[in-house]
Amino acid sequence: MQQARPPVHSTMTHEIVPHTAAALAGVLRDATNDRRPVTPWGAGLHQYLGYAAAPEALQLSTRALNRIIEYNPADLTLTTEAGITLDDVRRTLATHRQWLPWDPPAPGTATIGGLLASGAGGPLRLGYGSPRDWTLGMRVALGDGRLVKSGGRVVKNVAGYDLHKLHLGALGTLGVIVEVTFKLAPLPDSMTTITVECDDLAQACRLAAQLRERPLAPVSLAIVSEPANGNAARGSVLLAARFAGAAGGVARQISAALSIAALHNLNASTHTGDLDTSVWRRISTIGAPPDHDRTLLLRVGVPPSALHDAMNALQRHAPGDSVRIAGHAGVGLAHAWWQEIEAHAAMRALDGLRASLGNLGGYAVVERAPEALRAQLNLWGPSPAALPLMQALRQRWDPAGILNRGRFIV
Amino acid sequence: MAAFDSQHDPVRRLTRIELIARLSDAIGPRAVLHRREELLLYEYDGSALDMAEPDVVVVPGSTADVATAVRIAGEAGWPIIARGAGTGLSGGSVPALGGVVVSLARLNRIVHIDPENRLAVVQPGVVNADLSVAAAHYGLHFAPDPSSQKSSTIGGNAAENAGGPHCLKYGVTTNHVIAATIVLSDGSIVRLGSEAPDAPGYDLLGAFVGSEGTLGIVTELTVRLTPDPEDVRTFLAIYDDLEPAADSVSAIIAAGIVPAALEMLEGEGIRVIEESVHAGYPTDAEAVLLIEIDGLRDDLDEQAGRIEAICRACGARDLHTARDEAQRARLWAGRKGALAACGRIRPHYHIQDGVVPRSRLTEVLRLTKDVAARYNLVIVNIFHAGDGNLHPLLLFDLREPGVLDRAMAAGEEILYACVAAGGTISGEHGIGLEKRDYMTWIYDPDDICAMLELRAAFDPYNVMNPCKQLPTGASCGDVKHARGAQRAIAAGAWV
Ligand SMILES: Cc1cc2nc3c(=O)[nH]c(=O)nc-3n(C[C@H](O)[C@H](O)[C@H](O)COP(=O)(O)OP(=O)(O)OC[C@H]3O[C@@H](n4cnc5c(N)ncnc54)[C@H](O)[C@@H]3O)c2cc1C
Repeated sequence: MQQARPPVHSTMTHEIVPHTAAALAGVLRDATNDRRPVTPWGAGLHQYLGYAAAPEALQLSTRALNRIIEYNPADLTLTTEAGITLDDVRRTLATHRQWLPWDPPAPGTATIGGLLASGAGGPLRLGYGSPRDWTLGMRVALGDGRLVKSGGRVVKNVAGYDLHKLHLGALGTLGVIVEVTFKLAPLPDSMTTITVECDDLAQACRLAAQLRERPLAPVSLAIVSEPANGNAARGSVLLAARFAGAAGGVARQISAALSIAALHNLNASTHTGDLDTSVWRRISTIGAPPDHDRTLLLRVGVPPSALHDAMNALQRHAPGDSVRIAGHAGVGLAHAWWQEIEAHAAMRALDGLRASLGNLGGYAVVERAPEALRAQLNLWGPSPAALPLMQALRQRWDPAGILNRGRFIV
Repeated sequence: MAAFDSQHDPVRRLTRIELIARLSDAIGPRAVLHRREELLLYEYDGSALDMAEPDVVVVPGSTADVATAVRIAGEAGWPIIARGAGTGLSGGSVPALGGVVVSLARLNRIVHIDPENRLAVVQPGVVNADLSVAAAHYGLHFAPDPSSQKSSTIGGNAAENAGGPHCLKYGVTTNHVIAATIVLSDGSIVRLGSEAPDAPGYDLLGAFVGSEGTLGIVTELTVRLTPDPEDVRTFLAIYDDLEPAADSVSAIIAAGIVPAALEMLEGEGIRVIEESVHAGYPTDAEAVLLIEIDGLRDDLDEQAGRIEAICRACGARDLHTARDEAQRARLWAGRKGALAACGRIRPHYHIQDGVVPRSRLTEVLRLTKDVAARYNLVIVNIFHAGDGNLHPLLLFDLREPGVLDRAMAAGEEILYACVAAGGTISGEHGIGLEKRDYMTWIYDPDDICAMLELRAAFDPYNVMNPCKQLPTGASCGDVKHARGAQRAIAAGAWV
């Protein structure tokens, strides 16, 4: 039995930092009784998502739940508390040349639980899938304070429903993730990236399609479109393709990719080691919060073949003319910044964008908006068809609706 | 709180005769089966452990007709049981309380294949292997490859979250389903998931896959297709003892190598397989590993070298590499013919399905030997070793009095050992009727209650496949425990 230490009340008025999962669950039980709203809090990095939290909300921090519970390198599995940072996990795994192939922004500060709850992903999605594919089980404190688990610690398991999948991207509205078990991957021997300066978006998308033809299998494939700025006469479009695996196969793919670029008369450069890493860190920042307050950060999802149309729509509907987009070919996700905007223009632009994306089978979510705009915009877009089912589930697990009340789509 | 007894046999508001009449009016009499001899086929699934007779079987030809039939049955409080090919091994499609079996056999069209997005839209009754055949033209295939892939349906695969040899590298069914159309018990039709990734809302599709027909009936699926690998290598590692073979599996995984498939066969199984299939397995071996790696041509030599070194260091006597496609096919034929071949050892079987951490394989396999000796049974292990997914095959002759009870007890002891080693009670065959009472070995009442609440959100009428997957109250005792085991081992069957 773990001894339940009393939760620490930090200097911030409403912050509670429990040291055990049981204590955290106890806070939720009490809050449900009091009908007091609660904001689950990892590192606070993604708190810009969704509508503003209720002012009286308790900030329930997982930061003291930061232990690795069981690392079994011989089985390629890891069980950890949710308040640990992704980088801390990576450091542990690297000692056995293993990793979680997942590269969301800000791994140094973001917690595992916060990243999972906010559905944060990264460019490696193309080659390795999303965290959903690597999550084997979870322990979660439901809104009413019950501490429940699902899944297990082995790589294959069909006992019971995969309840843990429901908490991925749910913004903590069903429960607070306190413990997660992951399947791990061996670190690839080699990772190399090529970047190609393209003439325009259309060309970059054509090239991206060719870079996925057999035997090429990039693990990341991003198209980054930057606005004209300073002395650059026009905007730029960069294609980045990353290959991972054994050295021989990577070398062959790189040379094949370079020849494809040469056929288009395009300049390509190759990046290895730290340079390879920094290309992707730079691309990731487009999905991370911009720091001035006149920017709208959008996430767009479409069937992969519609990415080009979606990126065009992001440009066409932009209220201003400075648009940055990072699109992930083969995945169908893009992050974009719309800048220099005021409320009415933003609403009109968003409606137009959603209409275009709707025709493509896609959606747009406003991930971050200037404080003044946040309450006025429809951040999540139209309700999903299954909303009544989602509400029925939430009603059972968070009966008082205390978790991130009013912030999410459900 | 909704505890275990929340599932009760619902009150039926129509007589059987009225129900048949309503269904026939709504979806046509030819889609409604109700004569005794028509119903017999639907009493059992591939496990043949539990049997129960349905009251009616409907065979609708469209999503709309599935919805109509489900609405009529659901409103009247009759249980509704989806059925694919009926190859399930845990009693999932057995109508435990009677009711209406909804066969998806007529919904068997591949709607379209989209090579650009690498996906296919299929009806649930499409047979697994048929999709890969149709996708082959594009250099694509459907990665989940349960051993029943020539007969089981994609709807059934999704409902059981089926696995297979190549799921070690490519993931199980849940990793390959991206959207689905579902009929709920009130007859409403809802779309879960989307071709656009990460649409906002809860991942209900993730909870639906593996729900064994208890949340709703899937009438259309959008699934991922995987590019065929450029090259493949297949080898057979040969051992004089079980333990070095198990050690090799753990060592390969621990070295950070994830092969495409890593299967083990051992004991008397090897000899009877060789006699009936002529796969090229040495009959004096105590264990063999069937190892396959795939990917880029350039990488395979090096990986093959590492695997060979590990196997030899662990004590492999020899390692044979398939020289061509014909040899590769023969090695796999041995694996695939295993179940049928084992019929030569004893005429009846019970297949267990448990999972252990890959680092604990050796000790749990050793225990199966010990259990076999103590219960005086033949146990052959033929299984997905790379995933730690054991399939002890308990072989016996039902003419021997009391043998079935002994076999069931032996299976239970092995399963318990899997759990004690940090594993779980099913890796791919599901909970169904067979294992619902073992759920409490791995989950607390609160965990199970949360699962029941998900179920209640989908099925407030409480009519979808009652008595399955979660432990239930007393009213689920009507099932005839036929415990017939497999009467004859189907030719060509493999697990
Ligand atoms: C010889 C043999 C080998 C096997 N090998 C493997 C293996 O390697 N890996 C593996 O995972 N399994 C294996 N199985 C088990 C079985 O084949 C799988 O579970 C398969 O996925 C079941 O598909 P089915 O179409 O036969 O479904 P059924 O047996 O008809 O149904 C299974 C379950 O799914 C539900 N269901 C079916 N269709 C739908 C639908 N459209 N909507 C909602 N629910 C539905 C049913 O209610 C039931 O609960 C094997 C079985 C046999 C007999």
